[in-house]
Amino acid sequence: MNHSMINALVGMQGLQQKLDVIANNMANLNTTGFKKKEAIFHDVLTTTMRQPETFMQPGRLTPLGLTQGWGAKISQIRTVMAQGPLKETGQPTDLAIEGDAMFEIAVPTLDENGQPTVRQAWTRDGAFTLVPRPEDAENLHLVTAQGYPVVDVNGEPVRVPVNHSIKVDPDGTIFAYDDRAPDAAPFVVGQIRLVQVLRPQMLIHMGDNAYTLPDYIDPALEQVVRQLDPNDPEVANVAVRQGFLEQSNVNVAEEMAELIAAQRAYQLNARALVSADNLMHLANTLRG
Amino acid sequence: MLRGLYTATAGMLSQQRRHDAITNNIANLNTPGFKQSQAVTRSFPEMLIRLLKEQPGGGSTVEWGRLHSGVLAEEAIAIHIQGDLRETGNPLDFAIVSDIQVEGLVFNNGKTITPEGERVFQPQAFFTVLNADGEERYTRNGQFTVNELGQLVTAEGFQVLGLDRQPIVLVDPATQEPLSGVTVDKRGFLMHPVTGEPLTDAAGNSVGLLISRVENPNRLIPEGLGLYRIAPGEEANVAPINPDDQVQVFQGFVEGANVDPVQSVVDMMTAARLYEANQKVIQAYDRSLEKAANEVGRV
Repeated sequence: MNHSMINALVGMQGLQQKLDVIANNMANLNTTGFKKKEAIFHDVLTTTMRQPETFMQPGRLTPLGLTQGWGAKISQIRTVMAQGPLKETGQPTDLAIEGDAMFEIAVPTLDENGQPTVRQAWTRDGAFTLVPRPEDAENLHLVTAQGYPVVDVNGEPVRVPVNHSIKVDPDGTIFAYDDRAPDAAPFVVGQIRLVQVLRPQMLIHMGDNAYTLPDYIDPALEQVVRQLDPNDPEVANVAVRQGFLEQSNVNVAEEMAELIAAQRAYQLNARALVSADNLMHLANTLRG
Repeated sequence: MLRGLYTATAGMLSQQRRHDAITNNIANLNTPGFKQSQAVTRSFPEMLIRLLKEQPGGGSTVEWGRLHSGVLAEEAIAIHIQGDLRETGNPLDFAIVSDIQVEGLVFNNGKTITPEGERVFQPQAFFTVLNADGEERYTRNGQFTVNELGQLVTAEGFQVLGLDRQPIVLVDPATQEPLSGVTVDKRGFLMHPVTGEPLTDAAGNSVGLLISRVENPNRLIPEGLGLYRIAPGEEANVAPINPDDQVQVFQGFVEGANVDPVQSVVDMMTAARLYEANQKVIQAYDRSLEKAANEVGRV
């Protein structure tokens, strides 16, 4: 009785979480740079009921002991880093990455003493803008939609002199063209830092389309993300596309199919719960 | 007491165990690599009833018949039928398709009967992982990921073993730099995702997933979290697969649970109805005892 109910209950709880994950994916169908999540199931720890030696009868197949499972749970909700489709916007500050890489941004935060500091974060959302900063009258800073500065290969925020337009090469190098002197030659103002994500499952989603590392992992060790090495054949096809934005990699058809499968499995577990309840009722009405 | 009362109780308990096993199967419909378990009942122990008879020269007994003192849930057998493959596109998802042949036998649904009448089960292939205590465990759930040390691990964090029985680490043999991805061929050998060069370990041997072959999969004990362990003393049952075994590793695929929802619901209904039938038997005995206690001896 109770065992069956627990199996059905645990199964339904796991499916409920899966439905939540699917709902989150669907809600972010149009979010730039969104990476969908998927739930991974495992069966819960199995108990083995001990059986006395007399249970070792001829014709028995398994070792002594009656194994009992306790349902299924979600082991991990993992992020799927598949490439999303690119949409052309025409905005010179809109950048999209084609391939396995991320932009690096600097998120202002407080350290353990309460002093303002900067935390490394990464994102695929390339909807950047050039904004003026009160402390820098000469340059415009390239920032994300939330105002976090985009970092260049030297670790500094990307700065473009005022009255200049930019052109970004596929490797992230930014050329500035003087608006006031159209015939003047463009010059390099920096190169956007791109990182290769080695272990996407270790990244923590901190909201606003940004990912960061857990505190126990030192970014300098380059175990999870590392600066893009142009000579590495694994990242040979990484390119930055100016004027494009990467759309969410959520596939509606797949999510609907998963939703239906999860709903039906939930229904089946509810059916099992009703059956377990029926057994308990039979036991309760054994006598009157 | 009436013997039949205990028989009916045993019947209810055994159907309860069957019902529990089926609800566990239903809860694990979405668990990759899950093998459905079937609770098997056995009617035992059998008792011979003897009639004590007065004979000249001493009493003796005459065989009167047999009585089963009940039925018990004996064991829960995991059915090792191949689950359906589902494509996920994730390069760290692996599925084993195993159809190991044994000379002279044709397996049907994982088992067969030899001409001598012996029941033989088909050997099955599993991934080999190391649990938290450093012991070998076997699993069909190939949804792997990579931790910060570059080791291939399961979703629960258990290290996946390679052919050298060591955890597999994804590094480029030429540069010793960590790799973000890997390509795995049908035999389980790892290759560089871009160049296709086979990955080699420090000794120069090819790195590959250790696929273990279990001769009699019924000797595996399910531990949960997708893991099986071999009963102590039976380690000879497990060995790496032979090169000519019909086992393939598919990258980007996941093996679904081999649970049939329709069969499970029907079995569950059957177990519930048998439980009810036994309940009615107990109620009938109860009424008989009530009569015996309250009405027969009434003055």
